[in-house]
Amino acid sequence: MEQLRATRALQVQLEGRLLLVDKAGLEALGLMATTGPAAGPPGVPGVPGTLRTLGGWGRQMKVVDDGQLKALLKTVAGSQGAVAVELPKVMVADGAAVGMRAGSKEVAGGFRMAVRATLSADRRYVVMEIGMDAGDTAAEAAAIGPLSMVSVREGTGALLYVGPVRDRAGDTREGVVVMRATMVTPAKPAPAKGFLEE
Amino acid sequence: MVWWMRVAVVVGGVTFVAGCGGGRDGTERPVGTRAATTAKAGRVAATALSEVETVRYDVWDMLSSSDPEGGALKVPEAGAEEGLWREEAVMGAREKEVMEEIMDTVEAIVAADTWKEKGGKVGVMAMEPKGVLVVTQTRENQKGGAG
Repeated sequence: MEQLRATRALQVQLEGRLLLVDKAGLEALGLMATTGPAAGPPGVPGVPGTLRTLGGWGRQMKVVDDGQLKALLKTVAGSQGAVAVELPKVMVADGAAVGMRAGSKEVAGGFRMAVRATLSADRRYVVMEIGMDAGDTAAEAAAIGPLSMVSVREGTGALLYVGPVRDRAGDTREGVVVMRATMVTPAKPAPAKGFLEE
Repeated sequence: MVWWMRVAVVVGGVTFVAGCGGGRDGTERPVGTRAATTAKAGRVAATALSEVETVRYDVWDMLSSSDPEGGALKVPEAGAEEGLWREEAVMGAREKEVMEEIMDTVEAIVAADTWKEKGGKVGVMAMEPKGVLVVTQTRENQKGGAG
């Protein structure tokens, strides 16, 4: 059974952060505070720096490699009042979904997310289906919108604009999720350190 | 619900195993089989009941989705508890499909001629709803192959 498990063991390591920033911080990340019905042409998935409008719902997204990600996070860390909430690092089987709760100290009602990670047939890309929710009212959930589909090159990440998020002080902040997806196989073990620890 | 039950009787040095259970297709399948016995010129080369064992393998991690319906992604509801979250792990259609593939693979690579579904005398497999594969096989095959 262990041998069988090894042959089928295609997994994806997911690691991420929830960032709470102000408008200036959002712009520093290269995103705009817009959600709603999609407008404009879709971008090209899997290419660093590409903005993509997601099907049926306009959500700002930016695919980034590790270098870009670190630089952006460093910029955000310097922004006044920026907060980074660590999301649970998790390994999921190819095609499997996982849910997580985080940020109950920072976000009113907490932040919830579900991710399904599926490797492409050539194993070069990871398609992440992401659903998010925050706060405790229907209006807040409606502002965040429906599921999003993001395609990133394996081993890279994406910034995804969440929407307005109410923090514990009652102030509205701009929420951004950073998520990196890395393929893990018996021959390619998970990185020893996370993308912010390297 | 998939289930399996077994009783054994030894008569004249030959072990009989009788039981009944639910097949992988969900239908009840009566089983009444003389298990692994070969009589040759006064010598009974039997697979004693003590050599056959039933082992439950948790293979949930090899299944493809944690969503019970194998459909829409579900975001956790608000709650105080932080960390990873998963709904009660019950196999949906997609997981059952993968489980079938796993069972086919095991049947093909582990003592292929012993599985009852293939006309053998010993091996039986069944799936439990929460991603558990139940395998009845000889101890040797459990260690060397299925295990």
